[in-house]
Amino acid sequence: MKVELFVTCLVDQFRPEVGLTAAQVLRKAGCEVHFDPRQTCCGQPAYNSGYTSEAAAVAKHCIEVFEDAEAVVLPSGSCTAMTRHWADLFQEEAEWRDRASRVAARCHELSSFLVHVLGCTQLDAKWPGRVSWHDACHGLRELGLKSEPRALLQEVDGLELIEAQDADRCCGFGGTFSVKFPELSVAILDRKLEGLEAAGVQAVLSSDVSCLMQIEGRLARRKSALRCLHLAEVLAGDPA
Amino acid sequence: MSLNPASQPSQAGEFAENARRALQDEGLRDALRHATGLIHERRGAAVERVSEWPELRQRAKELKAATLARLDHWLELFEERAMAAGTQVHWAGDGAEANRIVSAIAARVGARTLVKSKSMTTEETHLNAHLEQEGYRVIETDLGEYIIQLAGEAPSHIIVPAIHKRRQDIGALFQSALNVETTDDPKALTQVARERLREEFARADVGISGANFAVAETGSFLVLENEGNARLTTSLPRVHIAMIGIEKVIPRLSDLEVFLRLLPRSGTGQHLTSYQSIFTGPRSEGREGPEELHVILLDNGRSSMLKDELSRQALACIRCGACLNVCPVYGEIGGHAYASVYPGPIGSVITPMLSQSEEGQDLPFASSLCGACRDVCPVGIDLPALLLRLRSQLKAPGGQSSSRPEARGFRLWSWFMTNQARYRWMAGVLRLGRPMLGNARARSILARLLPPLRAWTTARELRLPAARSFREQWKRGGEQ
Amino acid sequence: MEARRRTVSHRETLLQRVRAALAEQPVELPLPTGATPGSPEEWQLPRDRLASFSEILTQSGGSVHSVRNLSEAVQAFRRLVEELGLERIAISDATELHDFVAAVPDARWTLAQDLLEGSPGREDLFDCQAGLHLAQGGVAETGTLILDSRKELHRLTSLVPPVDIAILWAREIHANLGSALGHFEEHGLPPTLTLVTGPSRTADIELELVVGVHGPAVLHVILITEES
Repeated sequence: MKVELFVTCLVDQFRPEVGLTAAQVLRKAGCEVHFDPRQTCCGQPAYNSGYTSEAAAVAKHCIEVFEDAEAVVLPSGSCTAMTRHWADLFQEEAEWRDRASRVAARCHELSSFLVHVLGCTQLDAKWPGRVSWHDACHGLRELGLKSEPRALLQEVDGLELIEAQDADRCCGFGGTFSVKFPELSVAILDRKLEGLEAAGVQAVLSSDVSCLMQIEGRLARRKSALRCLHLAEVLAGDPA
Repeated sequence: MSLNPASQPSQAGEFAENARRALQDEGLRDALRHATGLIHERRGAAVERVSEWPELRQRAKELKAATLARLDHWLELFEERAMAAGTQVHWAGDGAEANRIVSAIAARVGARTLVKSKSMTTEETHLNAHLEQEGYRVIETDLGEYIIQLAGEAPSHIIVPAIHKRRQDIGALFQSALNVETTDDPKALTQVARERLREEFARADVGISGANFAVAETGSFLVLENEGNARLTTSLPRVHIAMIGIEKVIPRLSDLEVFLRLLPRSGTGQHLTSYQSIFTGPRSEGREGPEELHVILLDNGRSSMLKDELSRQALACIRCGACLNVCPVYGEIGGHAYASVYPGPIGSVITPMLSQSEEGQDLPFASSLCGACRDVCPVGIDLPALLLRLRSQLKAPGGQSSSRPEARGFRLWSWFMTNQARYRWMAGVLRLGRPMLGNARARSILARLLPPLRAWTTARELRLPAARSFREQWKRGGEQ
Repeated sequence: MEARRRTVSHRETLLQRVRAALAEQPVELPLPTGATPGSPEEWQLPRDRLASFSEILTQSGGSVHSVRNLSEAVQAFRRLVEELGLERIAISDATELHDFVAAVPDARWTLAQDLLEGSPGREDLFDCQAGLHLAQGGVAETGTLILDSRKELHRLTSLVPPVDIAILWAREIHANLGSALGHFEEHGLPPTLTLVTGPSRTADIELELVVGVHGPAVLHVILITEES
């Protein structure tokens, strides 16, 4: 199956290994992976900050880039959720609204794509260690992702998945919220970290690089040995 | 009175500062963590036992939407049926009008003491302050409201007004305000309140309540409670005044069923509260109860929320408080930091919407948009969608939170993001800055110039942009 | 005249604002009809209703005493009086309760008729240790008593004294909230309809449960199971 990878701007610039391992994983699952270099960003930062026309302009660009794709896969729950909001940005433009809905319907978050579209959970992955899953908010509550990442992780050889307390509690990132209300953002995060630290795991995993940056940033400041990894990195089986 | 900086009154429009202060108050945070965790747990246990919970929510959501879509019709029907039962119905455009109606009634009946059961609507209109200015004694009788009245504070939660206070705080308060022995035993403290308030119930001339729902077809309204203070407030005095927001109207008596299944469970985890009172007119001749029953239908900005389907959703709120209990923001700072009558997720939405002034315009931004509130709302209000809509209204040119530099910033950002070459150029600039960001001294200088950078790095390390972006690696054969 | 005109215009202004706002995005939505989701079909048999009622009211902190008929109810009441050491009792005007008074002649009885506004009896009410009255109905689903202020003077009797003793005939127990409300939809509502599910309570201090705040701390229901 031909798949367009929409790596997302954060992955492209800050965590390229997530994009590379996502492509690897999709190939392991039998896909032909393409990357259209015209892609930029899903528009979420502007949308969440209240700048809907700016978000609409960026959404239009994305729609044009991915319009002809059979399937678009994103290693990000929040960016995938954003594609579902594109249509809302075109209240007055029926044609764009339709185009947005059509493209959004073909956009999938990585774990959801593997489990529901490809029907594939066994990826011959190996990652020995104890890990916990962080349910990133948009993926969990807007896309309903909960069982999918867990189903994939269950099949990883040597991996022990521990459910941390507050696994589905917000990490406090919230986009610009993290810098508009930094003390609050960190207070929310610290509460979540209690549950993670109590779980006694070696790594926390998530589908969203934004959450991972928030969590690892704090853990690094606290000199914690807890690692932060994206689902794709683990499914690609690299225990490094 | 504590020397804690967090006990300074919160300023409206100063959410960031209020939140910062609240975060320093360890006692507050302990109290909040304990209480919100507990109610949320109890709610969860109660909801789990109801397998038709999703269907109940859907029914309530549809019922509210259908009712609000013809609210004028239901209000007129309510008035007609209430009046037929002998209730006096008043209409108040705003809080000041509502307060004047109350004091006019109090004056006419020669009242001196008024007792109140819990009513967030009367908090909204600042009724107590108005009545006290007019020379009346106003006594809150709900235990939580009594506590904060003694403390001179506003409620910090929709259901549990004194949730921010620990037992020691309340013990000290009672000792100083009521001259009783210091105790921090809830049972003993409750007993003190019971005894003091019975004296007030006995002497009160007027009882003031709110209402959870008003039934149009029967001209009735319902008051839900656990303590019995609402029953006493509405049974002993000669006059009962109920202040009811216009959005509380539901069409039929039978419609109460779905809300009686949802509200107690969402609010406190109970299948039903100890008491529900349904009032339809004053007493008949020679029987028990108030001889005058008044209903004040209050607008105070609600009508403006009827303009479209999304904002009408916010009027469906049944004031259960579940969103507060699950909100990561509320859970860390409590209600006072919002500096608004209604805090938490619902408060962040309705405060700017109800307000005729600029109140609460910073609140829609004070959320990480996690969506936990939408998940627990028993009437299915899409709170994140409302927060996002408010953000775009407030940031629009001429909007109350509009910022020319920020708007310019996002316009520039979108210019870069709508073209591959421009995007790559911007990424290139970012990469150039990498060595600076990687150097601790350079980073701290940069942080002083860029507030977002400083905000991030105060308590977190910053990940540097990768040496080679994904697209660079892909192009160079990284796709192997 | 002036005041009434001003009040009328408040009403008109408010309604106008509502209509104008609704006109911006008018929509016709049908009211949901039919039984409320999950409205339990159980407890169709009187004895099932009785069992559910008793169980849930007990779980809610009330005490339920099942008896066969009115004279056994009187006996149960006598036992409660002894157990709780009741000497000053408030009582409603229900004629069914005459035998109860006769059974405890030494108590100081405060009659509901004497509690009406302005009556001297009001002060005595606050001194009563218990209140005795009937309940007009019950709800099996929720373990709830229904007090109809048209049928009996029991508003204050059931509220002020710290112990509340209610007599209920099991045949008056509705299956669920829906059927109870339906009954009143059909027969009309009294000035005050009170639903009671257990004693008064609060959790306003650190969410810790305290039973017995402003309303009664103790609720006893004497449930008469005879059919006719």
